[in-house]
Amino acid sequence: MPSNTVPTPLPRRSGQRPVWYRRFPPTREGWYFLTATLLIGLAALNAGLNPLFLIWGAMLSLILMSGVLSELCIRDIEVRRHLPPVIHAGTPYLMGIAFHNKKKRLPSFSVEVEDLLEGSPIEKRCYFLKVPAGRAQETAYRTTARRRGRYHLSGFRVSTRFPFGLIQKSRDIASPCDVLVYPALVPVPASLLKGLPTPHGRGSTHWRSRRGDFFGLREFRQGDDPRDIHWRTSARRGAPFVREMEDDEGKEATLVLDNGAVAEGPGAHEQAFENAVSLAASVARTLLGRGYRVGLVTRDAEIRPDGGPGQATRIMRLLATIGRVGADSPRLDSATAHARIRITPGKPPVVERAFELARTPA
Amino acid sequence: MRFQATHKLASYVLVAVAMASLAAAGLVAPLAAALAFAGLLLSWFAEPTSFLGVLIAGRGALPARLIAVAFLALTVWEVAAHLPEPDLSPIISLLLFLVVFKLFHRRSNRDYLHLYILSFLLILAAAAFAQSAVFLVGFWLYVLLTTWTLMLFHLRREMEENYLVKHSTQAPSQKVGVHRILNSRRVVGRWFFVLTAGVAVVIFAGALVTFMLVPRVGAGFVLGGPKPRRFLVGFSDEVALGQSGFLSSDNRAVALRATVPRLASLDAAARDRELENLYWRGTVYDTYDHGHWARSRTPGLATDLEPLGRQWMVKEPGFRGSSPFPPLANTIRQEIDIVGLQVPVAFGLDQPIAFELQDAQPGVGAAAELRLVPRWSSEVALRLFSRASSSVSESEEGRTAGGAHYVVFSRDSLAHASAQSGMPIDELDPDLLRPYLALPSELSPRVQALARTITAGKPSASAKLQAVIDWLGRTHGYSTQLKRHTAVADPLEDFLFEQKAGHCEYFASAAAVLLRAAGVPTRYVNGFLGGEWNALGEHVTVRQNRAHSWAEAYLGEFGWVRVDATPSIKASRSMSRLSEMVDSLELWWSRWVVSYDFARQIDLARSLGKRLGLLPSPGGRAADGALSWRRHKVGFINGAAALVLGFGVMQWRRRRPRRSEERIRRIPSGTPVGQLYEKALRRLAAGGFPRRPSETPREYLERARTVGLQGWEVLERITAHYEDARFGGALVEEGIVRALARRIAELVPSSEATGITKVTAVTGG
Repeated sequence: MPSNTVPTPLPRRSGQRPVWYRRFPPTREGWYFLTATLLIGLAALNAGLNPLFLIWGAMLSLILMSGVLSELCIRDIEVRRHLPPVIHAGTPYLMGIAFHNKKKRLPSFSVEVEDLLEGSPIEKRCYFLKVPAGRAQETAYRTTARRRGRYHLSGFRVSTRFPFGLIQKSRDIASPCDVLVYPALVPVPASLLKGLPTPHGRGSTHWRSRRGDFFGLREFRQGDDPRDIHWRTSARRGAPFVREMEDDEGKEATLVLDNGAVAEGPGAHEQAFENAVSLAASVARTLLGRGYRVGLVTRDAEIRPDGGPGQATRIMRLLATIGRVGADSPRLDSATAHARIRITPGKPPVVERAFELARTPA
Repeated sequence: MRFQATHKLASYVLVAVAMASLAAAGLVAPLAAALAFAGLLLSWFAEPTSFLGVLIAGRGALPARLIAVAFLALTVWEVAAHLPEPDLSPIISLLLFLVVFKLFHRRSNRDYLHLYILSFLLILAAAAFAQSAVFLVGFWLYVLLTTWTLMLFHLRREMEENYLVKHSTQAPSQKVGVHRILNSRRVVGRWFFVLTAGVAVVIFAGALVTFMLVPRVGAGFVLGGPKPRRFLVGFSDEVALGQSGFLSSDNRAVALRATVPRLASLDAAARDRELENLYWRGTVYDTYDHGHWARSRTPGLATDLEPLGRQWMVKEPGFRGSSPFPPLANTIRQEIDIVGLQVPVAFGLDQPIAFELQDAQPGVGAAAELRLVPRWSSEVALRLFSRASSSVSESEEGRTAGGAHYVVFSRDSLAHASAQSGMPIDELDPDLLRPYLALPSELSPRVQALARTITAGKPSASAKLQAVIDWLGRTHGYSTQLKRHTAVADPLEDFLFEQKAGHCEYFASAAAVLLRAAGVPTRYVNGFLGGEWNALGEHVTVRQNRAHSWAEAYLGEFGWVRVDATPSIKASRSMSRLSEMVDSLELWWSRWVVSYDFARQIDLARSLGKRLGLLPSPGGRAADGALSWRRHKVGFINGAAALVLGFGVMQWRRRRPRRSEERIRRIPSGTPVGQLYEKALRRLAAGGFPRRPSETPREYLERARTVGLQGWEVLERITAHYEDARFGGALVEEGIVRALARRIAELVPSSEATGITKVTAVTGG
């Protein structure tokens, strides 16, 4: 498995190890030390030299204390994950790890924390040199999810080689968390955005913001007419909200993603499907970033056009987990009168209904 | 102190302690030890960036390597030259050289690791040959420093390999410089060392427990023996007057230690008087010739050792006949620890009549055996034999073993003079008496004339003996400043007629020769006189400066009687408190560490069991020991109950949630707004959008907003009121609570919250 990647989802393990379960394999130096202990013990027993028994006893006690002290380091601790807001496949991200030492008096030394994906470590470690009693420290590891989808992070593996570097003791801490990896972002072909109005600067407006019937309230976006701000709602919510008019939907687009399975078997078609999903995500993100209200239609789901970060999340979540449906699944077409882009795996995307030109100011 | 400097200091002290332990074991010549320590100190300044370090790494690299190779070759040659009995001294010197070499070449963590391994080999060598309690001090310090050093080394290595990695999503993670953290004072502090010293104490205690409990069942090889200690001339097969050991106040090395229970029961004044009369009998000589005493090795004079249980009874068959041995209960029992003598003699108070050996002896491997070897004139020797040897006679394979431990049973030759200790002279075989009456043919006639003069009119042997003693005491003085009249060939004649002063050897020789000339059988004895009482350990310490010579005269039915013609000399009989402590420690070390064996383990277990009342007394009834059930029934029950209760309390405290967490997690469900919030959470959880245990209400609300939860505004209001009530103590109006409760249905859980609509039919086309 290449580094910085997250493997494809594995089936969940049934049953968990008991809380007290510990792993303590010796390190390389630990093996040397154990061998030396064995040899010196044999020499002491064989030769009957009493001072050698003292040496041997000290070595045995040192091994024992190594186990005790390492256990103290990884007891009474809490580990939390700080996920980034968005994770796209193929894009590096930082996973924050917070280590809290809940012991009252003893610090934790030299602790490594690994995330567990479906019970297996992902081989990206966060290291904490010293966490005093009652304190917390944060760090992060950098990794890249190779594929989109839902990943189940089952917990953490906390390990330490403290105090003598002879044994690496580790324990697993359950902290289940599902991480949704959004599709990879790809460059959007210019042909798809043909006719797309250029992004507006601050304070300028090129569309009618007061025409039409009252539709609802939405969050203020850059480019909105400040005169459309609904002050009462804004005061109550603590964020600016604008009135949304029905005819204010000149900036609306629908993406149609055909996720019907192709009659022929998988293989190259699998990659084509992933490419299509990535393209759909990239187009949706671009349009939403330009203030469009974007909807998504597939063979088995539909998201009504809307804008804002919430809409982006909804679309990305659907695309993160979307799969192919049967080839005989009915096609779904949006009856929208606005721009529509059809993305079919294995075929070039088609602009079925072009974007309107930029409207003149009211 | 900065971390890096602390680690370096700990490593250096660790190596220094190992070197010191090795030097204390006597395995290193003083010059080599001095050079090694000088190298240790100088290498402190040989950092990679310092002038010395640059020099060593640069121009000095090749010469250093050449020296190392040459040293190695020399060591191999020296070891090979002594095969099949290799001498370990060159190997130990090589180890020291490697340690110093590595100290000058400290570059990376691996070099420090090599240093630790080398220091461990040094301490191992010191342990194999340690004969003094000083090793225990060095061992404790080594354990303490090893604990500190290994921890610091581990942290340092982890820092350099894992720490200070700069993460970025735009670029691969990079390690930043570790120098800042290595120079930090905050990684380890005073309490770190205090607590880890406690860990070292536990490790040391574990070492002692292992030492005590592991049974001694060795049956293997024997390592090369320790270097012979100072050999005090005077206990060999031949003694020369004026050249042998003499009373020297300079030589305070301990020769032996003796535990004499009878002395411990006396008061101080009586004990001091007893100490003056402790004659530790060693070697015996029967032939005098021109200033030399030797053994004639006459077969009839051979000592006979007769086994009697665990003891070996000392007999001179020709002189004792069939007289029974006195009961050992009436004898003076001594437990002897030979310390500073590498001699084959079994010392004991005059006159030893029985010996008893321990199964294991210090410095003796399991494959070897210490045995009593009979010599002449009731002298007994100690010899080391391999277990495979079936012969008890002196073997060329036999080696002497210093540090022997044994028990002696003695009778006071003067106190028991009235007992039937011997046979009348006229009943003895003349051949047996001849060696003890022999005089050298060249002996000056005036010596014989002198003897006749002194003993004139003295009919009995005892009267002659007393006359000789009186005469010598009256006419001669004690002196250690020996002068010789070169014109007089015989030193004894010189002493008697010219010098009229000398030390104990001269007085003993003069008494023996004069008595022989008067017809009294005599022999010459070397040993020790007196000792220092150690009140702390309740034993007698006999130093080398107490070496003494006297004579023995045969007085018929009284047997062999001690004759000390030397004027009494005052010697220190007591030690300072510090000396007592050190001396007792050394004795304890010798008996309880170096010669700790399986028999002593069994004895220890038995005595412990009897003391605790766990073992029955010889009468079959369990004794009321310190921890007997009968005596402490209530205490046992209370103690057990307290233990169980304490354990239960401990477990309960561990399992219950902490107060702060409880406070944080507990929702004040008694309040309306609390119940409202719980209701909202239950609705959302049922719909597949539960609040995570680690999420605060505000974090949960933010997550709900991110996923576009429908009815988010309702949740926001409920959360705001809930927080006000819980953290701000605010009272929320019931009307507001009711209004929000009606709007809970607007909270749309799960798939509806994601805004994804599942489509099952075609809608247009």
